[in-house]
Amino acid sequence: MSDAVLNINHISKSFGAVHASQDVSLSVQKGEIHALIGPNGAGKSTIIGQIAGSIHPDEGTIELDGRDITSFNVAQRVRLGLGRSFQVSAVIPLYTVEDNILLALLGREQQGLNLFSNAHKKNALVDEINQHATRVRLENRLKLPASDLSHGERRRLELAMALALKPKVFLLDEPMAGLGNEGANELTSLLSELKHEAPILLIEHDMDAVFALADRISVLVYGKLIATGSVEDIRNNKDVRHAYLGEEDEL
Amino acid sequence: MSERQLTFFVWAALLVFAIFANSIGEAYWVTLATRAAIFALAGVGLNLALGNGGMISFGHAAYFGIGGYVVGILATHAQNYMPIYDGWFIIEGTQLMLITWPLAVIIGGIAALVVGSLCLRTDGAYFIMITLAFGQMFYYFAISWGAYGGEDGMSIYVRGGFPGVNTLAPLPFFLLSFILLTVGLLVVRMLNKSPFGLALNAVRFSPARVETVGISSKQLKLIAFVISGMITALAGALFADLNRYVSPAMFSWTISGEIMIFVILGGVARLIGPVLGAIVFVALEETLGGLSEFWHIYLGLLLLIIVLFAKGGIAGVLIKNKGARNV
Repeated sequence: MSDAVLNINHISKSFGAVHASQDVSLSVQKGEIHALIGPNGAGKSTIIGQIAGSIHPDEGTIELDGRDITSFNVAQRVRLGLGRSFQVSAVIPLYTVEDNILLALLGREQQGLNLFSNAHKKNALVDEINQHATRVRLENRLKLPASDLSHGERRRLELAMALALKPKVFLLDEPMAGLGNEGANELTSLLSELKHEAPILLIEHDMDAVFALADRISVLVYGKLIATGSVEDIRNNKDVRHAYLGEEDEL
Repeated sequence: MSERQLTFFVWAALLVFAIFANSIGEAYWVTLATRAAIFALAGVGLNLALGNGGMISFGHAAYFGIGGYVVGILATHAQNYMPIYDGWFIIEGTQLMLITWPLAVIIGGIAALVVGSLCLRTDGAYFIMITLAFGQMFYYFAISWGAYGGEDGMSIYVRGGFPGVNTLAPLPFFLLSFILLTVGLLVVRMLNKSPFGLALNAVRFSPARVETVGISSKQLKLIAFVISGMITALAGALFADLNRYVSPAMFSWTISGEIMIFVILGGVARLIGPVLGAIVFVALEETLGGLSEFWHIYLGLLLLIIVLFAKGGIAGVLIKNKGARNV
């Protein structure tokens, strides 16, 4: 496990009597896409919250790049290299595409508390904005407010903002949500390139995408991890078929 | 009209009005313009917290009052020649604006830091209530502070002094207030253009988004809140010298409400919004207030119309928005 960038060790979280996560361990290795799947209510959001830092686990630890980040808050974890995207696009609607990406860059450069310089006169960052926008094919939308983007474009902007952080690991929360077939295909090819820059923990509902993309898959049911393995392993795993795939006939 | 043009136009109009009024000998109009400039400065302060940071503070009278009391207390000691502190060293009262202003700003900032770091643990309606509660605490404290006039407040016999300026004449005092208003506007404009401003204005829409680019939304908000309190405290200091009188009324929640009205009337999160709002407020107070004691009814009506039909305030109506807004 020496190549693990993100290590989640035996985390548990209860809300009252509900055990949302029970002794969950998983790792994300260099160069891989590790997909986390599970039926609705399996506790995926709780896991994401604990990795991102918005929920504190009752037990267990989380390590990023060999460093224990369990007690760190959201912003601190981002500064250490956790690049996150949201299930529901959280871009700033009034800001242009350009400014949204600029915001991410300023965050990465730890300029957020710089009160004195002009944010728009940082020429060094202009090229980088273009570069990230081009990556997600938003280069023609730079001057448009994010509120004028289509749903798919907003998802891509979200991804560009995660990219701009140059994270050590991506935490992508249902990036395909609400995308049509075409959009999902496009994103699939983008993600398969991305994983070489930083590994991806992919939380996804779209099974086609998961099976096409993932190097490893973990299956979460009722807060417990019931299996981790390659795509083939998971396809053939009895428990998984029973607990999860059995419920969805199309698979 | 673009936002830039409107900003310049309103700013210049206030200046020209005061100079014109002075030239035809209408000293009272100059005083009105001064009142508008000072209220505007208080609003510029609040706008940073309320407009840009999305923190609905219903307690900014606290900083307005602190600014006033700093000037009042220093003036009282200067008038009766009793030092404020007489121990290992001596602190004397003073009426030099170059000392009273910075002190008002610093003490206002410290108060905003304490109040802000407590209030920012909450959000939404709770934030409004807790800022109001702190405002009222200052109000009742001032009322019961017998050493400094209690309910009666303090009179300042002679307006504070500024080197080379006759502050007792209406126009020079207006110009001082106007310069400070301009400085306040420039500071807020600089902040809004800075990386800090880009992040602060984003927090208003999505704190989670700002956190996920690695910036602490709490820190952003607290810094904005403190600067906001400092600017409003400076306005309070000017207000004390304008009236040559300070009283607990400066801390009253109605003042918090009025400062909020300047911002909402003029245009939330617009640089010139509070200036526009304060000018309209003073103009209405003067014209309608002369007709009826109950002029606030009309103010309320106007506010209702603005909130219902022109959410961007007067500035929002006047500015032609082309596409994205570069805050």
